[in-house]
Amino acid sequence: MFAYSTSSFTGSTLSVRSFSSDATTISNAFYNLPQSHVRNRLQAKKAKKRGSNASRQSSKRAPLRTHPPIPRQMSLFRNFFGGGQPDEEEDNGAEFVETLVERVETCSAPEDRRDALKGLKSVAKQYRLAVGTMGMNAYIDVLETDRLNSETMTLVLDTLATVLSADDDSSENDELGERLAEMMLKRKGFIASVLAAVDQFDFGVRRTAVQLLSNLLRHRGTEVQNAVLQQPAGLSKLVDIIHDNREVIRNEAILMICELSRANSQIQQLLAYDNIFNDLLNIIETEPFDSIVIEDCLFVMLNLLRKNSMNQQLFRENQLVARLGGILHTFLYGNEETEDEVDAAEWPKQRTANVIFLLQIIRTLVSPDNNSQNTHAAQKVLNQTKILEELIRVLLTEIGASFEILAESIIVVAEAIRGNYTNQELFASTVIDNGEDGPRSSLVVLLLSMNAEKQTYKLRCAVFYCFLCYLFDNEFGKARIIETLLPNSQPSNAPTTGSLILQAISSAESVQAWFGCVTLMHCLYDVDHLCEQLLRVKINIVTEQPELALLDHVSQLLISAGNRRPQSRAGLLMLLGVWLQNCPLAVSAFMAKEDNLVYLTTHIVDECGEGTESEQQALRGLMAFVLLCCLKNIQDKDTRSSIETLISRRVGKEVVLSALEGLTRTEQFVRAAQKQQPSESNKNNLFLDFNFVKLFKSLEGTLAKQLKPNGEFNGTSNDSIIQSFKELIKRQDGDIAQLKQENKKMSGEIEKLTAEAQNKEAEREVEQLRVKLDEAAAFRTQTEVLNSQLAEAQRLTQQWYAEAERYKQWAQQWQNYQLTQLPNAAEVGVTQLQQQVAELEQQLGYGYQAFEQQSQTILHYTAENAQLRERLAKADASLSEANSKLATVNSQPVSNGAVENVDQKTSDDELAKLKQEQEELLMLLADQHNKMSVYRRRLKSLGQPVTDDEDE
Amino acid sequence: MSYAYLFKYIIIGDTGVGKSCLLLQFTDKRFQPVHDLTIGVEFGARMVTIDGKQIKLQIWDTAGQESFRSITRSYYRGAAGALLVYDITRRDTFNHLTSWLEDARQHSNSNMVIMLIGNKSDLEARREVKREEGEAFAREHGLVFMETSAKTANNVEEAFIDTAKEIYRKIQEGVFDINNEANGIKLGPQHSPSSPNSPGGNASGGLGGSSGCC
Repeated sequence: MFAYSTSSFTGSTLSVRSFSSDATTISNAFYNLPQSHVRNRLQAKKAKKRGSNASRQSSKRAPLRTHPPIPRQMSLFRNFFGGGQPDEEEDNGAEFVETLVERVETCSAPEDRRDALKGLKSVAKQYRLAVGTMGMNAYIDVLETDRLNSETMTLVLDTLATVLSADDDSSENDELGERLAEMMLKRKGFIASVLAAVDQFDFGVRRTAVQLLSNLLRHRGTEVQNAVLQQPAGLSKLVDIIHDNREVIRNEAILMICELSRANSQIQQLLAYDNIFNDLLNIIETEPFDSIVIEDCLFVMLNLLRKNSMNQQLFRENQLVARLGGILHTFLYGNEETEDEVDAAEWPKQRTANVIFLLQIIRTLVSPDNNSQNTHAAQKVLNQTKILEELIRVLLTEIGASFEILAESIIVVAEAIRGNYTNQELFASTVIDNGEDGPRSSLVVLLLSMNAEKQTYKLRCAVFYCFLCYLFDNEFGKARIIETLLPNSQPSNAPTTGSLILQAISSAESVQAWFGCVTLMHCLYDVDHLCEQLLRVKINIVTEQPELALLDHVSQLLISAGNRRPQSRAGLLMLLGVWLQNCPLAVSAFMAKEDNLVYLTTHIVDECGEGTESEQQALRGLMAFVLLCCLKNIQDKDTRSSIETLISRRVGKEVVLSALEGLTRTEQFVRAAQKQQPSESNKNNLFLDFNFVKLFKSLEGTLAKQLKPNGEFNGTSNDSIIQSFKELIKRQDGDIAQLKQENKKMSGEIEKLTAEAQNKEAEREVEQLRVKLDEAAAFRTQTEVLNSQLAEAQRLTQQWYAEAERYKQWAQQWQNYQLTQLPNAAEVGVTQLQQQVAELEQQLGYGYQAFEQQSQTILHYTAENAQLRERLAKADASLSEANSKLATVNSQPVSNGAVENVDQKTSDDELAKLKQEQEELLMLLADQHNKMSVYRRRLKSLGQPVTDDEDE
Repeated sequence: MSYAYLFKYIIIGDTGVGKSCLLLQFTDKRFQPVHDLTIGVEFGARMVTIDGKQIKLQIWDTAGQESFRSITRSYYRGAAGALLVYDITRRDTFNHLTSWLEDARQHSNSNMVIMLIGNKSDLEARREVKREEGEAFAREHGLVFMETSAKTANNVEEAFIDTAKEIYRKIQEGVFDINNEANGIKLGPQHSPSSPNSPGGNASGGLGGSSGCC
C-alpha cells in the first residue's frame, strides 16, 4: 500500500540495508564523517568485536564520553522491554548508538551534530530500540529548538519514523514500535512539535513529519487523535497538506489521513467539515484509473462515511453522491474523450480494486446498519442521480466487468432497493432483451444466476441477497411472485420467477435448495394471505403423474431427505415453519398426511444424522418449531389433544421443549442473527436465515407455553415435572444450607487463621520493633554521647575562635605598630621634605639670580648717575663760563648783538633741555629707588639678609 | 436546487442557551422543548434569498459543554459566520460571552461575521440580562445584536438572514476570498467549473432545504 510513496528518497535507506557490523561497510555508511571520527569509531568497533575487556577500555577512551552511567540505563531499557539477554551484535549496536547520541548531545559544531544524526538515522532500522530510546532527549531537543534547521529536522523526524516501523510489514504485532510510540507520546509537546514540523514548507521536513505521524497513528491511534484534537486548528493544518502540489507529500498526507480517520467520529466530522470530501474527489478525478492513490482516497472516504450519519448527511447535502456517480461512470466506461478503452477483462487489478471501493462507498450510504432515515434518504438520492439505474444496467448487461465488480454491484443494488418501494419497482421493471431468449425481467435474471451451479458462490450469494432485498417490505412484489405460480396465470415457456424458485427448491444441490426455500419463505414472510394463496399451487414434477400440491411436494422433499442433507432440510423446515406458523389451513393440509408427523416425531430424537452436532441440534430445534406451529394452529380441540398426547408419548414434551430452546444456542443461530446479508465466505455456513431467526425469537415463548402447565390437558405430567423440580429444589436447598454452614465454618476458620496469622505477624512486628527500639536506644545513647562530645567540641571551637579573634586583633595592632615603626614611612617623609627643600633652594637660587641682576642694574644706574652728576657739574661750569662770557658780551657793544642774542637763545634752549633732562633723571632715580625697595622686600621675604648699607 | 453561494455558519455559546433550538426553528420551523444535549456537532441547512441570489446556509451547531470546547474550537476556522448565543434568563451565560468571543477571534479567520444573540426573549418574566446590556456588549465588540426566541420564532429568521447579508456585503466589498473554501464560503455550481462527468448534472432537486435536517 505504501510502496509507491517510498520509491524515491531511499538513498539513505539503501545504505542502511547494506549496513552490518563489518567495519568496511560501516566506513561506507559513514563516508561523510570526518576522517578522525571514523577512525576512532572503527577502532572502537573492532576492539568491541573482540569482545574482550580491552573493548570496554577502548570505549572508555572514547573522546566524548561524559556520562559513565549510561550502560546501566541501557540494561534498564532491556529489562523494561523484557528483551532478556541481548546478543552480542545488538550489544555492540547499543554502544555504537550510545556514542552517536553523545555526540549529538555534546557536539557544538553543527556539522558534527548533523553527521552524528546521520549516523543514527542510518542504523535506526537495525537498532530500533537503542536508537529510539537513547536518543529521545536529543531528538526532542532538536524538534523543539532546531526547527529552522531543516536538515537536522528531517534527519530526526526520519529517524523517529524509522524506529517506529517494523522491517517486515507486520505492523499489526509490532510491540516494540508500539512501546516506542508510547514513549514519544508521553513527551510533553511532542505532537505539537510534529504538527509544527508538518506545517513547515520544506519538503524533507514535511514529508518525514507526515510519515512519522502515520506511524504514530498506526501504533497509538486514539492517543494521537486526541492529541491532534487538542491542538487548535491542528486537524485543519493536516487537511491543508492535501493541497500540497508536491505529489509525494500529498500522497503521504492521504495515507496519514487514512490512519487518522479511523474510528473517531469527531475527527471524521471535522475532516468532513474541512471539505476533505471535495479535496479527495478532486484528487480522484485527476489520477489515472489504476492509481493506488485513488484507493487511498476512497479508503479515507469510506472511513468517514461508515456509520457516521452526520457525514453521510453532509455528503448528500453537498451533492457529492452525484459526483461519485460520475466518477463511477467514467471508471466503468472510460472517458468518452480518450476512447482508448481496453477490454474489462484486461483491466489492471488496481482499477478493479478502485471500482470496488467506489461501490463500497455507495453501499455505505444505503447500508441497513445506518439509521433508517439516512438510508432512505440515500436510496432516494441514488434513484434521483440515476446511479441506481446505472448499477442495474451493470448487472444485466454484459459490460464485461470482472465478477468481483459484478458481485459488489449486485450487493449495492440490493441495499439500494431494500425496503424502498420506488427503487424496488425500478429494479423489477427493468427488462433486458439480448435477442435470444426474449425479454427477461431483472428478477428472472437474478434467479437464473442463483440457480446456476457453474456460477461462483460469491456471486450467487449476492444475487440471493439482492432478491431478498427486493422482497423486503414489499408486499406487492411478494404477491406478484406467488401469482406466477397460481394455476390461473397464463402458461408460457419463458421461465417465471415462481417457477425458478420452485426449480431451486427441488434442486439436488444443497445450497440451491436452501436458496430456493429461503426465497419462497421470504415471499410468505409477514404476509399471511399469501400463505393461503400458496396452498393453491400445484405442480407437475413428472408430466405423466397427477399434479401435486406444493405443500406436499415440500414435505415429500423433506421426508425423502431422511437424515441426510442437513442444509436442504434446514431450508425446507424454515419454509414450512413460516408457512404453517399462522395459517390453520396449511396446518390441516400438512397434518392430513400422517407421514409428516411421523417424520417430525422420529427425527426430532435422531442423534445420528448427517452434519455437525450443532447443525443437528439446529435441525431438531427447527422440527420442534414446526411441530409446535402445527399444534398452535389446530382448531379442533380433540385433534389437538390427540396430537399433544402423541407428541408427549412418542417424543416427550421435555424433549420438544429442550430442542426448541437448543436452537438458540447453536452457532448457526447466533451467526444468522448478526447480519442481513448471508455469509459470503463459505456456502456450508448457510443454515438459518436472519428473518427466520427474528420470527423464531418472537414466537418461541408462545410456542413453548403450549407444552408448559396451562390447564386440564397436561396437568398430571406437569405435576410430576413440578414435583421433580420441587424435589430438586428441596435437595438443592438442603445442599445450599449445608454449603452455607460449611461456608460459615470455613470463613470462621479462615478468620481465625488470618487473625492468628495477623497476631503472628503483629508479634513478629512487635519483636522487630523491639529490636529496632533497642537499636534506637543504643543509637540514642550513642547519639547523646556524641552530642555531648559535640557540645564540648563546639565549646572548644568557640574558645579557639575567641582566641583566634584575639590573636587576630593583636596581629592587627602589631601590624599598625609595625606600620608606624616602619623606616619606610620616615623615608617617605624625608624625601618629601627633601623635595620641598630642593624646591625651596631652587626658588632661593632664582631669588639670588634676580638679586644679582638687580644689584648689577643698580650698579649700572649708580654709575650712570655719577656720570650724569659729572655732566651736570660740567654743565654748571660751562654755564657759569657762559654767564661770564655773556657778561663780557653784554659789556661789549652791540656789534655782535645779534650773535649774542642768538647765543643767548641757544644757551637758553640748551638750559631748558638740560633742566628737563635732569628732571627726567630724577624721576628715573626715584623709580629706581622704588624698584630697589621692592626687590629688597622680596629678598627679605625670601629670607636673604639685606644690609642697610645697600639701601642706596 | 442550485445556489449562488454556500455559507458555513457555526452557532456557539454556553450549554442550554438554545443553540440547537435556534437551528431547528430556522431549518425545520419547529420547536423542541426538551433539552437534548448536542454531542460534538450537528448540522442543518437551508436556502435563503439575498439580493435576489439563492444562498445556501450550512449551519453547524456545536456542543456548548466545556468538555467539547477543544473540538468546537476546530470549527471556527472554516466558518464565514458565527452566532454567539446567550440566554437572557441566565446571567452567567452572558458573563461567559467574553471568553467565547476571545476563543472565536483567536481561532477564526479575521473576517468572520459574528452575530450576538440573546435568546429566550419570550421568557420576559425571568429576564436577568437587560436588552441594553446586550446592545452595549455588541457595540463595544463590534457585533450585530439581536434578541430572539427559538420558541416563538421571533427574530430567528432575521438573525440568520442578517448574518448572511453581512457576509454577502463583505463578499461584495471583496473582503472575503471566495475561492478559498477554508473561509466558509463556496461558490455555487454554476459559478465553479462544472464537472463534465456528473450524470444528471445539478438537477437533483429536493436535496436542499429542510429535507436533510435532523
